[in-house]
Amino acid sequence: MNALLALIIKDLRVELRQRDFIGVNIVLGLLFGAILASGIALTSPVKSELARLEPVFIWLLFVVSCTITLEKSLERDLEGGALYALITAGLAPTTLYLSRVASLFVLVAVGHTSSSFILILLTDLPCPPILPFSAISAGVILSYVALATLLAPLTASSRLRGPLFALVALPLLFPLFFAAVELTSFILVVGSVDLSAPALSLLVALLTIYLALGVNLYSFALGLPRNRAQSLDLTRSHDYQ
Amino acid sequence: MATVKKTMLHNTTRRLSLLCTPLMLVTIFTIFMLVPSERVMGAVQRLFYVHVATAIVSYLAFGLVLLWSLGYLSTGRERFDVWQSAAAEIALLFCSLALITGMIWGRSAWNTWFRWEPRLVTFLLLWFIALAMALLRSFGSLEHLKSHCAVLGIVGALTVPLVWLSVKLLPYSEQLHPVVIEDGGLRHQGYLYGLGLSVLTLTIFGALVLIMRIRIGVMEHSISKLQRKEIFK
Repeated sequence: MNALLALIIKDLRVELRQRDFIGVNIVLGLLFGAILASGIALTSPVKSELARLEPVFIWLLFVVSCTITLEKSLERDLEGGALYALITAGLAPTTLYLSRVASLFVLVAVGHTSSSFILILLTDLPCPPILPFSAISAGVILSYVALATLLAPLTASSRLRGPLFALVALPLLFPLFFAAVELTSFILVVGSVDLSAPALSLLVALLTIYLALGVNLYSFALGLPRNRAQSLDLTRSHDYQ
Repeated sequence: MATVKKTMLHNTTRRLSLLCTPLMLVTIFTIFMLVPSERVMGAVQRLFYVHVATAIVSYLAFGLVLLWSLGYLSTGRERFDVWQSAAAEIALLFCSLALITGMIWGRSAWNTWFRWEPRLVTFLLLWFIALAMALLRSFGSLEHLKSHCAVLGIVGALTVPLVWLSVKLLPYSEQLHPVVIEDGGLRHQGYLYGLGLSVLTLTIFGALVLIMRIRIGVMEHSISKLQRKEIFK
């Protein structure tokens, strides 16, 4: 538990020092919102139709900005062998995975909140109810971060890197995008989350599956040997004394 | 041992192709000559038999991808990686065929090549997942390629039922794609025979293509082993 907390604090400190993740998210929110607002001004759609499209704009911005920034952030872990150094020091891949998911959840949540706010401000769209929207966003962000943290090592060392991450992650994100848009549309109309909604069940299922897959498969994604526990013991074996 | 296995694969390929060729001819004859035309759509409805069969084979291929990916990660045997790679390519092939036949049929039924309705979008996404597996195989890091492909295979294959479920949750009124079998649409026996025969034939064809691809994978693996031996001599 102490190791997990220490890793989360370390990751947050690194991100706060560099500020690239939140910065890029905010700038993307600003740019996307400006482009969208100018498009809306040119076409003058009916306000009610625009309000119906609001969940799509919010979650599309989330997918685009997070795909760009998450891949870079996770790639940094693998540069210079930092992650492997932590594993050699005795940390379990599961602890590393969970710490990364937790720290990225905080950062993505801050980025998503700020970029959504900027988007709503620039496009003059109605603001969704804070609490229900926060609950949905928490579920969606956690699911996405759980999946992205697992997939990033698969593409980080390839020669295509960034584009390959987007090509691999985006098809898997559709059910999540669908659930997010459905739930956000509902809360914009009704004002609260329907606990019996199928989209909510889908979101919970995705979150559970992606976290379970991440916890179990992260060591394979890092390319660690199957008998990792044995190989670590060898380095600490009394034979070497 | 390796020679015995290669001979086994060769024999299996030969037997399947001997079975598949007449079966394919019988199926084509049945679909185009024996099965009655559908009342509303006419002759173009016959694409249904190919479309449904290719969709079923692609789902089976995804299932094999999941199975062999788990096999590779749990045992580390390279044969599972060769099989998984072959199954992923078959999944992409049959997904493409299902999409193309669906689009041709859709053009006739809905006067458009593609509609953004749930079931078609589902298949498009399955195609993207299969494409992602192929791209990772082509461009992934050589050092950990096998384990990376196995991880993506598991994640991708487990997403397939979730995508299917997300479509099922939508209200029926938003679905344009016909729900033939569940709605009891195949009342004439000829339709059932045609569908059953086409599913059987295309499954055997899919198995044949899979085994041929596995044979190529085995040969590629043997060549790379020989090359490594040469380098380290």
